[in-house]
Amino acid sequence: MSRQDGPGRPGTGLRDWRVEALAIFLILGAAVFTPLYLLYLTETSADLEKIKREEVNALNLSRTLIDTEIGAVVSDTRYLAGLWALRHWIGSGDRAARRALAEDYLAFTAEKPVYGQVRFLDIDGQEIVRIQRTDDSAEIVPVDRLQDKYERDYVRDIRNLDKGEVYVSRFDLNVEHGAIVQPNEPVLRFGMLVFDAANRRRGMVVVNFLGRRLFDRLRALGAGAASERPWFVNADGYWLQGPSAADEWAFLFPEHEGGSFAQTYPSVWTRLTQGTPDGQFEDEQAIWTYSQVTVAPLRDSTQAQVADPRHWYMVTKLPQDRIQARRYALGQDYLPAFSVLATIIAALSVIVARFRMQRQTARVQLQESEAHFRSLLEAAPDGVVISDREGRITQVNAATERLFGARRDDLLGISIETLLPEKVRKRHVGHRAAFYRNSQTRPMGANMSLRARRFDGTEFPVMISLSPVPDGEEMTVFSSIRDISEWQETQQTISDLNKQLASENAALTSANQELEAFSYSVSHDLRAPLRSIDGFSQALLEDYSTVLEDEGRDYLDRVRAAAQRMGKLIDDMLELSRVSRSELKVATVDLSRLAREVADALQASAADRKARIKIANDIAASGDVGLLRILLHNLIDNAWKYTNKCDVAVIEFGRRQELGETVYYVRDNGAGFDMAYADNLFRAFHRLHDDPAYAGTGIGLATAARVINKHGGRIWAEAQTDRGATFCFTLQPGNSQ
Amino acid sequence: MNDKEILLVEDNPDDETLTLRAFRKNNITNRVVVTRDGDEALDYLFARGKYAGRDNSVMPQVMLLDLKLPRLGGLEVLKQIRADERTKMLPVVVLTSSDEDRDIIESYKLGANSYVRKPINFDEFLEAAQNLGLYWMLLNQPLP
Repeated sequence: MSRQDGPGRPGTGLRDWRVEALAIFLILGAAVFTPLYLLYLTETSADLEKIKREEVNALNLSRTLIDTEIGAVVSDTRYLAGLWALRHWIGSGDRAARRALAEDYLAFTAEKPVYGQVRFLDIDGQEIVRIQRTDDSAEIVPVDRLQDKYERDYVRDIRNLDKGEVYVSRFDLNVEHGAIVQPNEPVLRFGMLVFDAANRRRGMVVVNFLGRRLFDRLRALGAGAASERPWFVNADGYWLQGPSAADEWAFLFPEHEGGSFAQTYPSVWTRLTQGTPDGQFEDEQAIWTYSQVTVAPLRDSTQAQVADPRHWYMVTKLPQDRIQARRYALGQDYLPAFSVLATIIAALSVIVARFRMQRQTARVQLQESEAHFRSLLEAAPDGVVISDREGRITQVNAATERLFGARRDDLLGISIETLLPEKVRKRHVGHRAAFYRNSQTRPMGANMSLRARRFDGTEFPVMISLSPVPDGEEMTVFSSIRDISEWQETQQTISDLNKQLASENAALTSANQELEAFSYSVSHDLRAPLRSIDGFSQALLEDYSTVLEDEGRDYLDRVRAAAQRMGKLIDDMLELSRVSRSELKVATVDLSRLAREVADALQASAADRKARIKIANDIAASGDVGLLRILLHNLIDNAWKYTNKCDVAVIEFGRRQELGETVYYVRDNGAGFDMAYADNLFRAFHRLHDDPAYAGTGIGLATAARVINKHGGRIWAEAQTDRGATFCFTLQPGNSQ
Repeated sequence: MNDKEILLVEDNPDDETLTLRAFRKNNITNRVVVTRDGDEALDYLFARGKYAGRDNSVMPQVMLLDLKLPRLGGLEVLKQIRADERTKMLPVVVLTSSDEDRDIIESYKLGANSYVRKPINFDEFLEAAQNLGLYWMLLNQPLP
């Protein structure tokens, strides 16, 4: 992704896609997670329903159990009340009958571990027969141990029964000898009046039903999956089976201050007692499921009615936090799926958002680039015309308007031939077709002089280049039109100037050649008479020395000297002109070798002169070997000349680096010169010394300077009168030039 | 008198006088034939024209050829000499008043054997003659 963010506003592109990704995430997330959540909710509520139902079922099961058990006890009580042995005793009242009754009761009780006691009391409450259950068997309690239970309230209650009614006590703990039997023995007493044949009340049957087994079985049944084991609450709101042993039977242990269900959960108790017998409701603590247990007669037995039916409540508490825990656990199951989905959705959101952003960026960039292209088009100096297959102009730029003196609206839609002179229009149509068949970018009409036609009818010369532009399936042609009238003029001017230059060049060349020929022959022709002058003077000196006197000889000497000087002058001038005319043939030149050759020749020509000539080794330079020889010859010869008065001439040739350039120098310890006249040094014929000892033509340095100039270098000198001179030169254009 | 001939081709009478004097001064007593221009030189060598009756079996020992001659130039003479069997091997010493490279190169290319600067630099001439093996020609010791 480029650093160039969204449309022109820095940074917003980046922020935008994140926001959009978030939006997509939220939307997608909502779409996906909502059903998921609904599913979760459904599941949790189904689960809740399930456990609520389980509670109900559990309670129902328990209640059925209780109903069954208690129903059985009711029918057993009736059975015991209707035994023949009992009726017999009532009739006879003798011991044997009592014994027989006791045996019957024993036989009954022995097989029924649920009964702790089975008794027959007379109408005043005196026990007549008592079967006592011991740990795993029953026994007939001997007569002397039979008790009178007249004061007991159950006796009173039973006496008030109607015929056929069964009395059921409240759940109690067994009391023996005034103390509560420990461990707790929950007991339910059932009783029934016994009538004789004359319908007189003769006694009662009392059965002690041991609740422990029932409670154990209830507990074994368990509660629903989530709740605690069911509580068994009596009609006064006390736990008979409760959360803990301390809470149970609290009404019998007032000193222990165990609470009651009614006190602990008053609102629940209210609903239990005032609502329907069975129910399930929820408060902020828990879901309560309860079922009222009523001692009712067995379904089939319509004869035994239960007086003052007792009722108790079975209650289960399903704490809210456990419900929450279940919900939470359920939710946990969703977690992996949720995470995966969340990740996928997040990724999708990011991808989609970025994709959308890229598309938008691309769209904006396209617009920008189109605008850019259009502005380029408009800014182009050449006229741009874009035309379609039929040759109709579809687009033009400002330059085209200017070129053809037309407005854009007038140009668009017209055929491109309109812009050409009439006589070529027909041909152009054909060319256009050919171009479409074989379209490549190329200049139009190579080698033809093209002309275009303005709207006002005038024509002007043009250069046109054509490019095919595929545009989907269509092909358009991009033409670039340049008005070359100025260019043509310029070309003409250039051509004319060139011709002029060529002819001037030719003139110069021939002039040069003539000059060359001239110098050559002039030097020869000038020398010939000099030879004669010098030669015959010498001949005179040699052959007629005896005739000539000193003065005559002196005159002839001067004649010779003058002739020789003239010869030197001619040579020097010839050299100067040759240097000026010649072309530089650049090569690598060994300056040290050239200098040594010059120096050797000089030394050889005057062997008696004491001279130390120091030439540095390996000085090479780039230049014309012939000209450089002349240069070095002039400079070293000068040094040689101006040191001829020294005892030992010291001449040096070397080079040094100065400010990035290579500077060569020829130094001598000779006569030197006054720097005040240094400007004239390199001018031809100017001499700074009149001393005949330093005879010279005054051309040598001018020639040297000419050589340096040709190489593009500089030459200068430093000297002091009588302290020698140093001539320095460079052979390349330097840094400062 | 040494009968070995020296052919001098020189148009300038002053140069001729000075050259002959130089020879004399240096004891060269050979007969010096002087021709004034290229044509005359060729006529002499090939025994035609003015010198038609010459016995051309006798060739000069050496030819001193000035390059600057009227009409037929020195180089042209040289070319013709070298083209003919009879004169191909004739030692030619070119006389020049300059040491222009192109004269020297051209001369050697055309078959000159040596060159000597004018006015006759006699030492150079001696050396040239030695190089050409003509030293014996220059001796002029009269028989005792």
